[in-house]
Amino acid sequence: MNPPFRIDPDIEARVQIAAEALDDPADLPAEAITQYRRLYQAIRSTSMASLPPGFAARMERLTRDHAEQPDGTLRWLCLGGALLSISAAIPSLRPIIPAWSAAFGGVPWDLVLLTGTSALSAALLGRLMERARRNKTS
Amino acid sequence: MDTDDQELVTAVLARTPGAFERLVCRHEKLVWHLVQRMVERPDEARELCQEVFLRVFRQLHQFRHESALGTWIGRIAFRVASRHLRRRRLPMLESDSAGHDVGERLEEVSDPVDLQHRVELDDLLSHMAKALATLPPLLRTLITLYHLDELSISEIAAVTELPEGTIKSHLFRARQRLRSLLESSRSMP
Repeated sequence: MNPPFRIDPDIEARVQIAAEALDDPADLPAEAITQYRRLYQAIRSTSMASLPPGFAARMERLTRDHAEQPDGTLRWLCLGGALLSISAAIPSLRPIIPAWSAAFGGVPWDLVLLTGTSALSAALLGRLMERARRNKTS
Repeated sequence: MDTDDQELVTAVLARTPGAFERLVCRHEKLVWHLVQRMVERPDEARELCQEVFLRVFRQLHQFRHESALGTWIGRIAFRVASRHLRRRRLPMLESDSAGHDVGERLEEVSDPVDLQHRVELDDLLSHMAKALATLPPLLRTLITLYHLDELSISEIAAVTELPEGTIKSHLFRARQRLRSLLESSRSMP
């Protein structure tokens, strides 16, 4: 196997620029300039797989659905529902919560539980809605 | 500031039918090139393209016309693709030691029969896709943005949020490696 054609690294940067500028300085190796020109041409001519036809139209439909869905309202409603459920559950947790609070240095567990569950419900709901939207378009 | 961009953004924000489709049509090529070069797997790239345009739609009200719309969209695409690579624990750039065995990797992905032919332009093209595939995601993306999409260094810097000097240096290395890879494939018996 023949070794690849080598250029001094200091000169190589000038060669790359000369090839791009369609300039042929006499002090640079002409063969290297030609190689780079062919390389640039090949990069420009390389075919790439394309997006499926109708991608833009599908995105338009998808965003129209997105705009029509009452995402925000629905999310707030579910959040409210989660808060109410937890508030209702707290009395039955009362006997356990003081024991937790004492064990973990007086952390207000009822509040932590309330906030955590609400945030989790909202996040899960968001994910589910996003997945549903994706399935609709795929 | 591009008045076409401004009108288009206004129309999309006003929910004018067809406006978002026009916006996607205008910028899908750049997003696709960028995402596909970063991610390579077409099915993942298609899904990420969809995610990019959904983000564009949701965040368009935040677009301040401080850059071209294409640059802003490209930046979102680059962030989405970079995050995807991070999640899959794939490096954007390989370590220096990993860069030395690219010749061997090209041999692995090349058809030995093809390597016997001369590297004229047609032949170059057949090797180019394989040679590009051996480059790390960031290098092949920069090469594509610069040579195929004809973005300037400053536009690429805006899209990738990398310093211009870093981009020039990555471009230099990427071209050098491509030339070396293609030359190696030509000189094989």
